[in-house]
Amino acid sequence: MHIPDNYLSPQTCGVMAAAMVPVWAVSINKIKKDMPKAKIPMMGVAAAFSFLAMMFNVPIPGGTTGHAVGGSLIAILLGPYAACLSVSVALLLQALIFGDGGILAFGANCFNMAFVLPFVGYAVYKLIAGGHQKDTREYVGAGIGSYLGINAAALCAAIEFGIQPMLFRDAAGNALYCPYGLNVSIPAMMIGHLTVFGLAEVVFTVAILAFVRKAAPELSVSTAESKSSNPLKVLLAVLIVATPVGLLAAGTAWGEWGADEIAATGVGYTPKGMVHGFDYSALLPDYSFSGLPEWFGYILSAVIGVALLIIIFRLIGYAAGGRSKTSHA
Amino acid sequence: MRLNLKVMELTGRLLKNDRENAGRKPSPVAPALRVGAAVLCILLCAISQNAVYVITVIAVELLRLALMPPERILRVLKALILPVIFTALIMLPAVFFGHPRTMLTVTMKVCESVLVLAVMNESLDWREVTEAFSVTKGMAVFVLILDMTMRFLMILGDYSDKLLEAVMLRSVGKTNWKNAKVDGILGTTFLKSRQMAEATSEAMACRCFDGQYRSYHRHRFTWQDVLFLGVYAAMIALFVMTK
Repeated sequence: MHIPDNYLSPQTCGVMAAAMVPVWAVSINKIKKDMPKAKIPMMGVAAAFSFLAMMFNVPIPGGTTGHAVGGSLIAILLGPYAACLSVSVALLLQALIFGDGGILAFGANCFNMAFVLPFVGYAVYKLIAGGHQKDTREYVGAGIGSYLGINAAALCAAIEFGIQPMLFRDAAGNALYCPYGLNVSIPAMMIGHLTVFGLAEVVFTVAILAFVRKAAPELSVSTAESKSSNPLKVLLAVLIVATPVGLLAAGTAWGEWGADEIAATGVGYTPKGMVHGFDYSALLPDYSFSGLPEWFGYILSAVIGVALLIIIFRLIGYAAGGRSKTSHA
Repeated sequence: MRLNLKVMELTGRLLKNDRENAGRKPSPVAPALRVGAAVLCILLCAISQNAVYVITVIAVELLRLALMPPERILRVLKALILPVIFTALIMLPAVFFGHPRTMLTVTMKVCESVLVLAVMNESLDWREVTEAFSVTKGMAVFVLILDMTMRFLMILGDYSDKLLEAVMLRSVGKTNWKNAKVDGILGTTFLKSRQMAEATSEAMACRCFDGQYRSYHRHRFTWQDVLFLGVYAAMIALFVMTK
C-alpha cells in the first residue's frame, strides 16, 4: 500500500500532506498531555513492529503482493494518536532510507496507513471490545477492527489512485500519473485486502496482541511497566531474522511498479508524469544491497530500521521528560 | 575561568560515569578483547573497498546503541554528529565531480569509526579501558600521559587563573584580558610547570612508581572469552566475503 512517487500528482500529494498536518499536530498534543513519559520509548518498539510487519510481503494469485501494517495493533496498545505518530515515523524511515513509498507521496501514505487505518481500527475495536482485556471479546474486536482498518486504508489508496486519470491528463488524453481509473484501482486494491492482506493484518494484530498481553505488558499504555522485557526483545529478534520470508513472495504490489514496468502492465504507455517526475535515490533501495544475497540485505535493513526507530523514540521520550502522566482510558 | 570550567566538566563527567557504573558488574568478557575487537573493526572498515561491510557494522552498532539508556545514546550521537557533518562537507566536491558514492562511503566510514569507539566508550568503564591498555605494555605510556595531562590541566589552569586575577587587580583603569600581559602569565605558568614536572619526577622516584599501571583485577580467561573470539572470526569472515 506504499504509494511511490509520481503515481499521484503534486497537487494531490500537497492536499494529502496538508490534511495530515492537523492530524500530526493533534496527535503530538495528545501524546504530550496524555502519554506517560516513560511509555514514549514503547512507541519506538511499536513502530518497529509496524516496520517489520510491512516487510513481510504476502502474495496473492495474479502476481501482486501486499503486507500487513500493524497500525490497529499500536492503536489498541498505545492509543490511536500514538499509532499515528509511530506509523508516520516508520513510513518516513522507509521512504528516506529504503525507498519504500514516495517522498512526495509521504503525506498520502501517512493519511492512509497512519491516520485512517489506526483510527478506524481503534474505533471498531472499542465498539466491540469496550473495556475488555485479555479475553475473547478483546481479540475478536482487535481482529475485526484491524481488518476493517486495513480495508478502509486500502479504499482510500484506491480512490487516490483512481481519481488521477480523471483529473490529470495530457493533450493526447493520456494520464499524467496513475493511469488506472476507479473502475480498476478499487477492485485491484480491495480484492487483495479483503482476502489475503486483511487476513494477514488480522493474524498479525491478534497474535502480537495476545503475546503482549501475556508476556510483554510493558508495551501497553494501561500498565505501569516501561522497561523492555526479554520476551519482547526475543520477539523482535525473531521477526527480524524472519523478514526474508517476505522475499518468497515474488511480484510487485499493485500500484508500486517502477516507471519501466508500468507500460507492461497493460496500459501500453508510461505516463509523462512518471518519466519526468521526481526522482529520489534511497540509500538501500528495496531493502537490498547490490552484490549480496537478498536475504542478507533484508535482515540488515530490518536491523537498521528497528534500531533507528527505537533510538528516535527513546530520545523523544528523554527530551519530553516531566510531562503530565494521566493514564490512557 | 573558561578553561577551568572545561576541565571541571571533564572531571565531572568521569565522576558521573563512576557513579553510574558503581553498581555495574564487570564485563564477563576480557576488556582487552573488547577493545581489540573495536580496533579490528575500525581497521577492517578502513581497508574495505565497498560500503557493504561498513553498513553491516553500522547496523550492528545501531542495534547496540538502541539497547542503551537514552542519556548514553545522546552522548554517542553528540560525539558522532560533528565528525560526520565535517566529513560530508569535506567530501561534497566528489558529488559535483560525479562520484556521490565516494562521498557516501567515506562519510559512512568516519561514522562507523566514531560510532564503534563511542559505543565502546559507553559500554566500558574507563578503568576497564585502562586495564585493556595495561595488557600491552607499550601502551602504558599513553595512560601515563593522559593521567598527567588531566591532573596538570586542573592545577596549572587554576594557577594561571590566579595569576590573571592578580595582574588585573594590580592594573589601574579599565583592563580587558587582551591587555593583561598574557605573555607574562603564560611564561610564568610554563616555568611553574617545569618546577612541577621535576617535583613529580622526584615524587615518582621516591614512591618507586615507574609509570606502569598495574591492574589489580586479573581477568580470568573464561568460556565467554572463547565465545567472544567468534566475533573476531565473524568480522574477518564478513570482511573476506564482502571484499
